Amino acid sequence: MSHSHSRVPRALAFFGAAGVIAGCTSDSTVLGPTRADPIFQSYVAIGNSITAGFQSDGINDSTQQRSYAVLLGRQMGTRFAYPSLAGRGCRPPLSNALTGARVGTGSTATTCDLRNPTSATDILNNVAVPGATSFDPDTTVGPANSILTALFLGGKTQVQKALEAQPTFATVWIGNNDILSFAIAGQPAGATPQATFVKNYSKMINDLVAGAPGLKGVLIAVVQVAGAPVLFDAKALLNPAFLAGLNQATGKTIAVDPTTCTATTTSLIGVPIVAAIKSGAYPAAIACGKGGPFPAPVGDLLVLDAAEQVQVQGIVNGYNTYIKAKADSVGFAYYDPNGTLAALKASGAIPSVPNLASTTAPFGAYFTLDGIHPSSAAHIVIANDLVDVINTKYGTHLSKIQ
Amino acid sequence: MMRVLRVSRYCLTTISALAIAAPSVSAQGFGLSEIGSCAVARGFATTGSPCKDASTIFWNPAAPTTLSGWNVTAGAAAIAIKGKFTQDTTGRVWDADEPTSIVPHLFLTYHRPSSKAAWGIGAYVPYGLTSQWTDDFPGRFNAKKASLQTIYVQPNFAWQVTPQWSIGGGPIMGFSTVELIQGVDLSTQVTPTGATFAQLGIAKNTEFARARLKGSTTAFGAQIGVLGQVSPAWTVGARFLTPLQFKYDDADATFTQIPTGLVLGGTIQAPFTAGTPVDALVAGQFQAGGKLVSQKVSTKITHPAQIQAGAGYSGYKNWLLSVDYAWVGWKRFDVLPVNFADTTLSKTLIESYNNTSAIRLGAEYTVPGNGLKLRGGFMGVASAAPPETVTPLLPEQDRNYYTLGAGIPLMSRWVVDAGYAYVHTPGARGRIVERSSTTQTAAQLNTGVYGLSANVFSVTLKASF
Repeated sequence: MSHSHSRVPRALAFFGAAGVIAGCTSDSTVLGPTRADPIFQSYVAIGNSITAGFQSDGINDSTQQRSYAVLLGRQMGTRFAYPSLAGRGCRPPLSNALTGARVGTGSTATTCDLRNPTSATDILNNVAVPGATSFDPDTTVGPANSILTALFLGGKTQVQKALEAQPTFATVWIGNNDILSFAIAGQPAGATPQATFVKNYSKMINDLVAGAPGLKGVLIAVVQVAGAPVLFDAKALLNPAFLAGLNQATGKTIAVDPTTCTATTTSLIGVPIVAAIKSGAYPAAIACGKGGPFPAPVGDLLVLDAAEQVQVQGIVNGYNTYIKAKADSVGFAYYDPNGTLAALKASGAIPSVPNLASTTAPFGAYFTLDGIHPSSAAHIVIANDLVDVINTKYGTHLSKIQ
Repeated sequence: MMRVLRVSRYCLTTISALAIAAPSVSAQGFGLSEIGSCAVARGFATTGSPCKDASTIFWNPAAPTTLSGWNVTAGAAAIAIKGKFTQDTTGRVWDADEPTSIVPHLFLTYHRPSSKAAWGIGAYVPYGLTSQWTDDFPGRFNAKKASLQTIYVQPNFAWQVTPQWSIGGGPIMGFSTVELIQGVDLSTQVTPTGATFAQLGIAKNTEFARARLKGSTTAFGAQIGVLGQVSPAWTVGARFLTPLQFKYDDADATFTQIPTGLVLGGTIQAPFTAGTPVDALVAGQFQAGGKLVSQKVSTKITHPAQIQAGAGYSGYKNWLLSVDYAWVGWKRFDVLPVNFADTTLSKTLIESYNNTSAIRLGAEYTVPGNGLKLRGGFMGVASAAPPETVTPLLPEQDRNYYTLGAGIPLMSRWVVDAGYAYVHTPGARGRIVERSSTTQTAAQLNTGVYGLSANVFSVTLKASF
């Protein structure tokens, strides 16, 4: 071997030290969190109070965590940020159905402790706002705007906030508030007309999918309001014990119209009548239909007679027919919770008449103290139903909540 | 107009943050080593065995005694940096919007061969940086753009104490300009009610203003060096560059309102009512009497001391091998004060940098017959920043430099040196928010991973007369 050849290996060995030094500087701690199935990489939930986590006529961080959307996000293994409220909430949920007491010291129906600043984030996944109707998700100041619209969306619309998350998956549950208050009030004619609902809903979904190409998701049907325990069977008024409970709850002696409140009546009475009678906003009298001996609004307001129930059912069916068609047109799954709701009612798990003797569970285990919003147990049922729907539609393998 | 916010002092990081700022990759922190293309190509291991050109004024101020006659060295390095941040929560990646930086160098020496004295002067850039991110980068509230341009001018005198040993050095006058542009986050601003805008629902990282800070100043220091030929094949050398403290006492801060386009969707309480444009609520802060008006700001940035020592071996025919150790005193970046004319905006930034060490390896092969020189090198550099201080201003992390180049003779008196360096980093977890307390840990602060790499192209024209 020549002298010059013997130099080369030594020179290479010199640089070999560089490789050793380079190997000493690796960093094995730079990995981020494990990613979920790509389809669930970014999940957003658009909706109203149910999706936001409203329970017992209020909302706080505790109830927000129990939303089916949060539960579903957990099963997906994906990051899911919600607009956490501070302190007692805004407004704090009821703790006693009879007295109207609310969670937290000094809480009233107007208490609002604003947003929790320590959990502030730029991207939200749960963009649902209590009270939202089909008019609201794509409008900055919609007709159903409230303080929560400002606190949750910070000057943007639900659709805008959802798109900020660059979503790959979405659930949309909108439409309940287009009919709910009108049905409870016994005034179904005030519900959002079908054509308007279609226009609003279509724009919302079109804007959502346009801003997130390839988006997958589930459109959730509107609930048949008559199935919610906030509307109770008028025949219960013929039960002396129930009537006595109403008298005690209102502090009044309620007169019941015997001509309309018969053993064959199929009318439904809205639970808010209790507070209305108590406050004096409604006469201490209940009729189960129009044309009775008591002057208006008795027999009309907060009373949903048979014909009106048919009308409500028709309106909701119309909404849901469109929602399903829209889901099909955009390749989304469709989930109708009314089957589950009907089964729970048939089993007695959802009582047809509130238990006025219970201050903590008058509407059973699946509805909270306002008779409208699902309980934590119901949210689990909803989340598990969605797991089945999603797995069937997309061939995924989400597991259910035990 | 009702004052609807109080600008929080922790919302503005400023010039002092810039001190640590920007993804300069060509040394640790905001240090730069692209001083002469021969040095670049030889892995910057050029103190124990300096390049045979006037750039030795920087690399070893004693070495001009080894040159003959007039020597001029002039050139520049183009530094093209690629940076990115990958956010944990969304997996989203933001690429840095880095412009290519041009770093010049110019040296002149004179040594009459019969004399023991050598004179010279050099202008070089041992510290500097530019970083820039896109308008939607969530870390823009730490830094949207940062620029530090510092040039040292060093007159130099070297003396050959013995035939084997020389010493040298000179004073340094430094000129520095800094600029920082950053977003101001509305969510952290306080309303007259005492609640922050975040508590009222404004999302984090809602930019409603952009702050621009700019200033310049001068500072003084010195550098000394020693060089020894300890045997026919071995040389040793060392240099010490003093720290220079730049005090930017007369910098300017200006603020521009950035429209948010937000409209409150519901009523919270007056004046935060449904339908109110948020931009109208805060407009008054940019007018006379408001917080976000032009004002003076001051801070100080210490360019740290450097010690470099090494050796060169030329015992293999046509080969020169060199190894250097370099130390930089970054520990002086513990905290940095930022003082606004409006003292309510003033703050002190927590940096907690550490002193650093680097190993530099270089090799040079002279092609027999034509004088062409082929060069290669490597430098391994430890991070100056602790895990809590990897930021958009400077995503500091361990770095490896792989270098190569050539020296091409042109006629008898001219040489063109070309050098290339690829800078590799392993990636480092970092933050995009300010660290407000020393009790905050990296696990609490860091929300993503910074990636960084760079390509450096350097060209130098040398002449000797």
